[in-house]
Amino acid sequence: MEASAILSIQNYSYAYPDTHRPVFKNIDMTIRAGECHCLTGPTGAGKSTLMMAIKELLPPGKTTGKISSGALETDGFGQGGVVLQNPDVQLFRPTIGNETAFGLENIGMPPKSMMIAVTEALAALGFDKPLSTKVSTLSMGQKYRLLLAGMLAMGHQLLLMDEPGAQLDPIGIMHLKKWLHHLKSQNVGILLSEHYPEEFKDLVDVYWFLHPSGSVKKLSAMPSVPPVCEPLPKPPQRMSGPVDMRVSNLSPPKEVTAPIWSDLSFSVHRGERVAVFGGNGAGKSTLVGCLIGFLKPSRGQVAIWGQSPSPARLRGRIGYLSQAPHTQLFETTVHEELAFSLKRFGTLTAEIDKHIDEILERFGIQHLADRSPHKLSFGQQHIVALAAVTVFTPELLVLDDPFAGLDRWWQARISGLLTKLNHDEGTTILWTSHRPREITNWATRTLSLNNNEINVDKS
Amino acid sequence: MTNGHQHAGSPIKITSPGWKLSLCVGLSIGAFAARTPLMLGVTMGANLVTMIVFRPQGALLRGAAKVLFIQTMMVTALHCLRFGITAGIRPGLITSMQLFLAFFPSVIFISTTSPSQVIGAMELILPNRAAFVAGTCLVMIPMLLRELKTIYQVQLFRGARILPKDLLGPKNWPDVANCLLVPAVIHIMVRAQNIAMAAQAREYGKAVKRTLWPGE
Amino acid sequence: MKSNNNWKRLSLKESLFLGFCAVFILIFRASFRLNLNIPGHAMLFTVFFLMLARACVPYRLSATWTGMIAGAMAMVLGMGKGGPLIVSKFLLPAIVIDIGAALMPQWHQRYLLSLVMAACAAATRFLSIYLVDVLIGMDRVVTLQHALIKSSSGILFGMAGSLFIPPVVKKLQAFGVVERHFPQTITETDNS
Repeated sequence: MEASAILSIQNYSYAYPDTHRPVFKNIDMTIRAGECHCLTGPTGAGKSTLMMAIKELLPPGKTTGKISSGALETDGFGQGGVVLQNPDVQLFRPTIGNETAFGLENIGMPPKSMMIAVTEALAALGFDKPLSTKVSTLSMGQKYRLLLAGMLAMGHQLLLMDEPGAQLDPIGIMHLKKWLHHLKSQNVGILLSEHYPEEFKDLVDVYWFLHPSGSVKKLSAMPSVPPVCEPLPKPPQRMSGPVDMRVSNLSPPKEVTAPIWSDLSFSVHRGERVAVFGGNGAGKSTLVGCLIGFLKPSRGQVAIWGQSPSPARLRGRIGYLSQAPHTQLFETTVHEELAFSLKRFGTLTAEIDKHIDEILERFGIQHLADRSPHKLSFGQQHIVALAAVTVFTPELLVLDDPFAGLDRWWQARISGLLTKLNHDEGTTILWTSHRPREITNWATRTLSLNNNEINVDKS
Repeated sequence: MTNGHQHAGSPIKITSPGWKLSLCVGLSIGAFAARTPLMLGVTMGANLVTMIVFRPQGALLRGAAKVLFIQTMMVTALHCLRFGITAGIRPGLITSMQLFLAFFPSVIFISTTSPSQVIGAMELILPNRAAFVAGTCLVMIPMLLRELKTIYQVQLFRGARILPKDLLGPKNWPDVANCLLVPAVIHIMVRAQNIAMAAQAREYGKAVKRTLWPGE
Repeated sequence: MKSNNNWKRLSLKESLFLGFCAVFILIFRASFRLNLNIPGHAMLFTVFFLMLARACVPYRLSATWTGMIAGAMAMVLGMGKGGPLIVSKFLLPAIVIDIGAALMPQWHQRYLLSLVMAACAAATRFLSIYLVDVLIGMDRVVTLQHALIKSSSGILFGMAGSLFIPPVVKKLQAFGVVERHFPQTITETDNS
């Protein structure tokens, strides 16, 4: 017998108020108890927005068709529970007990009943920590699990998960899948949106593709996903050029109490493309902070171009791109955004325009020159931010997980640009990521931060 | 369950944050009325009893001692200037002790109350929405500070003159506004929107009156 | 942030933005107190964030709301002298800023108006210190001296804080994040 539908979307279309272009067009989708569906589609297609629509969180706009639930229709709290992309903006309370109860507080459940619901939900997801455990001490994977516990405590039978693969490392994903399998077996329905569907293939029953035009197509199988980076010819031998960076017996700053890497030693040579891998909480950002002089290691040394790193001294020689590149944009046009560093680093006024034109062409964004960086798409903002940190041709480029939130097309485009930069200008690139598969092909050398040690791939 | 904020040996194991806050605010207000040595002694005694009961620990107490020292020096000096050394010392010491006792109960409260209970206390003194916002912002602020620090680092390497030594020259102040404050404010707005969306996704605003988690 | 009615109810995202402004006031006060120890320097951050709150959220009591939250948090977190009266340290300048904004709609576009508003707001520090000292029963002359010493430098710092408002708001307006008269909804990037 077919399981009952817990979510039914029928001929649903939606456009934001004051716009004519529909975000969704005639969507039909049914999710049954115990099924896992995966929604794929490019960056900006509206996957997160569809989840918000299901949860009834979109502003009233032009809507046709309907979204309805089966068993849940009477709960009055929208259709199921949503886990958004970034757990850190969804954890509202300081302890795990209080956090799990957050939804219950919001629906006005009497405090006496909360304790039972919270304890059961946490137990169902394998939490054996005291309820007073601080949320800030949990790993990224545990935070996801805690959010799931909050959904269970609310009694949701449908989970909407927005790109869980974006934040989690492979181990985190493995653990998450285990719990999602468990929930499926308890007849919970799941809708995932994902740029990396292959990582959830053993969990997913049905795949959907959301086209940027707003239509949804049911797929007969998992969509084939091209690799982010085509294999690149690696240098025939170990890099032997001048050393840009030398790290000796480095240990993290005293303030870092979490167990992460220690006693690291490695060198980065001119023109290398180095990938630094590490799971959630492995200390990638701490390492980058020590390398570029923002954090003081408790032991050991870093030398960049023969000197200890200091932000004042490295300005103009290092380019640094963060996990959220769009947050660094502040000028009124893309042209001005690129001109900023050139002005600051003393490029002659007469040469600035010419140089910017070259950069715009190299990055394929000539058409955006006069646009406001804040009006661009998420992917375009990434490209502009990358152009802005490379416009002064830094000798060393440090990238802190720059693929966050991007689909494969944009990732491939960015990695292609970086390869060209490395090839044409000889820029040394150091790239951190929690997803080894992203850039294994791209790097000439990989450093892996695991088990408190660094493994240097000698290839 | 363990309470990391209430000393294990404390005779009072469970105290509602509202009750504790009322007690501390009462003690604080009491300091304003303690204008004679006798009243001051009674207020100090009450603070001492509260300290023994709740057993505050940690750096906050050292900070309070520092406040007491600086406050006493300044206020007593002013009194001595006004009334002469002999006549000024006594009222100076009494006043500085009063000022300290107006402040100290809040140190007892914060150093003996778990974060969840602090949020619970906010719910008691602020309107519903404001209390939720205050609690949420306190929980989220470490994340936001990390993100803003990254914006600072990125802009610095792009050439923004925002190092502490750069700020000594007013000509570099526009860089603080343009390169740091503008993206930071936009980021805070975006985060406020993300958090609001996440809260609503977890049914915030559904019940007329929110209830509160009874644990820590 | 969206509005066409300055007396409307604050949206949750606007409230959270104001809440963050309040927390930043406290964080900067606490962290710079450790390093600087210059009397009145905290007014730089208090005035800046209160003015920012008023400039970015089109609600007539934005600054007051921010000041109220900052004051309540400071009280609960034990962040200042004066016990419950610490609330006045944040509330009084905030009220002045809201009144100033109502009287001078262009305040955040002109340096001079911002400076005047900041000076008035920061001057309330005199009142809050005076209030505490008088309630303690301190001699009036000593109270005056104490309040003057502590508040005069605060006015200068408050005015310095206000200098950042016009350029920041101008940029935010240029991006459409804050509109010239009625701030608009921020366009969050959908990275799905």
